Amino acid sequence: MFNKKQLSLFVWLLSVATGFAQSNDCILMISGRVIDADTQLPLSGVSISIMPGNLTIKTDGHGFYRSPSLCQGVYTLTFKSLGFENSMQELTLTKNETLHIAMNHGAIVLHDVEVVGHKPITKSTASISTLKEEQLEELRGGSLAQSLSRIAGVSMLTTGGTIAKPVINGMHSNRILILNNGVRLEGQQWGTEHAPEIDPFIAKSLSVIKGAEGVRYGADALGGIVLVNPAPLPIDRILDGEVNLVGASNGRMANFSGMLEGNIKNLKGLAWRAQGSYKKAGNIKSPDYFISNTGISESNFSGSLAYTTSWGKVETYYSHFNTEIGIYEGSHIGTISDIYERIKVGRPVEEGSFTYRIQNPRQRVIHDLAKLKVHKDFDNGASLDIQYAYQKNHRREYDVRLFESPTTPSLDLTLTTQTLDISYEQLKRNRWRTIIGTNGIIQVNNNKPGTGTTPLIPNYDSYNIGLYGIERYVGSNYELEIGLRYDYKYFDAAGYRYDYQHPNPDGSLNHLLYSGKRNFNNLSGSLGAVWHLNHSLSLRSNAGLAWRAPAANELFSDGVHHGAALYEIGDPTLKSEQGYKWVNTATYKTDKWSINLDVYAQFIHNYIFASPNPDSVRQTIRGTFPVFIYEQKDARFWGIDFDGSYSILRNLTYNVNLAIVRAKNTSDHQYLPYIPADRVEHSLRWSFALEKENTRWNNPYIQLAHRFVARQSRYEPATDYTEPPASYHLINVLAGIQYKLNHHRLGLNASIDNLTNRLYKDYMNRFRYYTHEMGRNITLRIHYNF
Amino acid sequence: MNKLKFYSFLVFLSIGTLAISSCSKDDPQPEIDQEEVSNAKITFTEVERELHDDHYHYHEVPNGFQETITFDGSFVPSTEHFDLEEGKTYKMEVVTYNFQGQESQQIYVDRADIHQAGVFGFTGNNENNRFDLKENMELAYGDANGARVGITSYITVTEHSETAFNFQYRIFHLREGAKSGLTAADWNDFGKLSNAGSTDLSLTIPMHFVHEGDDDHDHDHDH
Repeated sequence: MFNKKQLSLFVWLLSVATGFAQSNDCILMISGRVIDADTQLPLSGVSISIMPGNLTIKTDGHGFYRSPSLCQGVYTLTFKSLGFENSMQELTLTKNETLHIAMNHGAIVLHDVEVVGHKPITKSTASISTLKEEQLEELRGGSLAQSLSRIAGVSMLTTGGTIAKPVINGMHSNRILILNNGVRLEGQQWGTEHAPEIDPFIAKSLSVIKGAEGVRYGADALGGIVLVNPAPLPIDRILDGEVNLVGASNGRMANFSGMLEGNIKNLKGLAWRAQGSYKKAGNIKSPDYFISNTGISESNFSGSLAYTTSWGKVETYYSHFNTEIGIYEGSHIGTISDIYERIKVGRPVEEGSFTYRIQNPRQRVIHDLAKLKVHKDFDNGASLDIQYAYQKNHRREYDVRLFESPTTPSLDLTLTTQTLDISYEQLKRNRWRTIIGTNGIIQVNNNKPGTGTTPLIPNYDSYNIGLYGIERYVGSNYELEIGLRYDYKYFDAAGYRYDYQHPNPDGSLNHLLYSGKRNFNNLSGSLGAVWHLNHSLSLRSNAGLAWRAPAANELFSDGVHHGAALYEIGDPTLKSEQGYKWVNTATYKTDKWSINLDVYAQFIHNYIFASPNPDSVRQTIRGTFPVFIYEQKDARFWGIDFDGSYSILRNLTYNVNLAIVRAKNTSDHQYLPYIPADRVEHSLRWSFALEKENTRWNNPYIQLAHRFVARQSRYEPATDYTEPPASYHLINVLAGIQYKLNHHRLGLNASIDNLTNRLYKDYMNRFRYYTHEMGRNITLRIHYNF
Repeated sequence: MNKLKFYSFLVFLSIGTLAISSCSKDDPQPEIDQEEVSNAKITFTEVERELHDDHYHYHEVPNGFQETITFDGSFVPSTEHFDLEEGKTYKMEVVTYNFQGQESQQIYVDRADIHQAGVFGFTGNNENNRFDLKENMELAYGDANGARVGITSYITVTEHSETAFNFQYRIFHLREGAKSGLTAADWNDFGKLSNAGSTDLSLTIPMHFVHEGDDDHDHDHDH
């Protein structure tokens, strides 16, 4: 928990910032909106220079702008945007003024002009790290979690080589929130072996908010939020497209994606996009052996249709995600003695061979998402967003079965989620921005009968409603934000399990119908500040309270978890978790330097985790399993994320990325399991412009990277079967070039991961007991824009 | 006013969509666990073995020893102490029952390519305190057509045990192709069998290999 010194420092920081605001005498402001004179659509990213003063500002996603504090006087405003004629306006400022501008198209029509119309704005005082399109292009072919792990403080929790979940500052699964195109992803995310159901090719940018943004985004956002953002739909293009081809040597992976988008000439304002991807990979290979049944087959598609007018936008979106993932056969084990035997060997006993065939154990997951969103801009700078989304997550897990057909799943779950988000945002003249909103969620989870296995989690209904308000003050060189939220959740579950407490005289067990209704209430809050000390240095400080209700498995599970050789028992009386997270960020940017440092501390009250019960074992036909029971304790996390780069020469940049997490169960003074070990990745990148004029080849680069992951020395021997694996070093190489022809762009890049083909294990891989990580992997990526 | 009506309509349309959609879970249904064996039994029948070249033939012993140990729904054996005599050979037959009470052991033999049983000895409650059972007994798989599964097998007690121990019978569900890497001689190699697959069935009997004719224990069964 925060100590008094830390709180005092925070209050002092806010006081300094507020005091600065009060001391400023020049308090006049110019605000307004910039639109396209032809389409009447708002223009984002328009550069507005204000003279005298040499100030530059930009329009936001809805075309709105607002000047910093100005004194009385005569000002000249110059509006500039690529593809448009510059517009110059002179204004005598004696009071706050509103100035709307309609910009005319220039003689040269460039397709790079960003005429997006009503682009969603992610404004927050929280620390946000973003991977942009060009960075994502260098990572294509990997999973969402693999891409995100490039961000300092984000790592992966993996299950073999095929399943990866993002971990933000040591937290994952139900403790982080993923927003897919603005919709909170709702799958069976409670499972550590359940990866997010998102096609990485949808994203044009990936952002991670590391604060506990529970006010804005609702329950579960304790550790952070992942924003998966597609590109804005086009406004003035007939037909554009994109093709990605990725091939990788390890697993002989082939990944293809295609996208078409455009506008309909006779229906001004109507935009569409169709996108799809296909991925196929076979058994991956460690340096010494193939890891059997680690193939993946994935086919996804999505479509968007939007109608944009000057007053707002109506948008529909649908995505279909369909994956089949093989799970290393050797992970299906019997008893605790089996797992010790596997650990002794530490690798598969056979060399294995390559195949694309996926057999049991495997997962098949289909996730459908549909959304309808209406955005309305008001003349007073306010906007209203109403978004309804429907998601259906169908998860089938096929196990190694004795009697049933291999095509009968052991787990067959369908989760439907409906969300309704309404938010109203107003940019006021007095520098305040107000956001009020409400979120409603209805979830229904059903087990399909006929699996021949007692379900691990029950059928349930869940209803959530949340109300929130955020006030944001934007000063000339500082910003303040305060938020408050109330949530209510109703949870009603029912299922059958074996009645171990009352066995029959012959030892046989009866089924017991169990049910449980729970109500959860929670008040969340956030407080944030940004202080732009100068053009190069900014300081941020954010404190937030977020919460989450216990998940279905934590409340009601009662069964064998084969991957971990545990018998897990839920506790229906668990309370909600409450997390208080404080993140302080320093950002420094100059021509040569780019530095971002996050220092955070988080206290979690009623932290839920499965703890071993040393005096209890459960006897099943497959043998004896140790019993793990879900319980609650207080926990503390703190850590440092550092991301920095320095331009040594004009073409040579050094980058370093470092993350440290410490986590403890403070009630028992014990370390928490599956906390990422300290890691550092640094690289040298040589990128240069070709000397030849008019060359179509451009932007070649080569990058050499080194990653070091330390051994996790902070663990509790009693909660793990063996000690964490040794530290390791990896060398990765990346190189690429682009070819431009008119509006077409061809990007080529190639990478070699684990260049030295090192045999290693990672603590964050749940299958580290049985296998090593992937060996050398050569990937070739072709990206074509037209 | 019209705009207000429009937005109100949108809000109510959204709320209405939520309200009329399926918002209630299905009634749960109890699942008959097909993967689980409801109970099992092991029958030991005294036989005689006769060497023929490199293998043995087994013959019934008239009025020989025969005893069945049953395992209840919690897999607790019906005896707390069981003796087998040094120098004697026993046919060991395993019967399993599914949750409908039907015999189910044939399924292991039908999928002989992915099943093989092993027998292990350990002391105390810790399964990892295994000792080399080959010092005390021999085992030959006796399934039809040389299936090498172990639903039927023959054990010969070659050396008495100083004390009682846990006699564990396990059927392993092997990964595809893994059986080709195993032999009949691996019946006591826990590492090899365990790493080739996972456990389908585990039955443990409190056992004592005694001297021939030794019957100085307070048993709940007859020899």
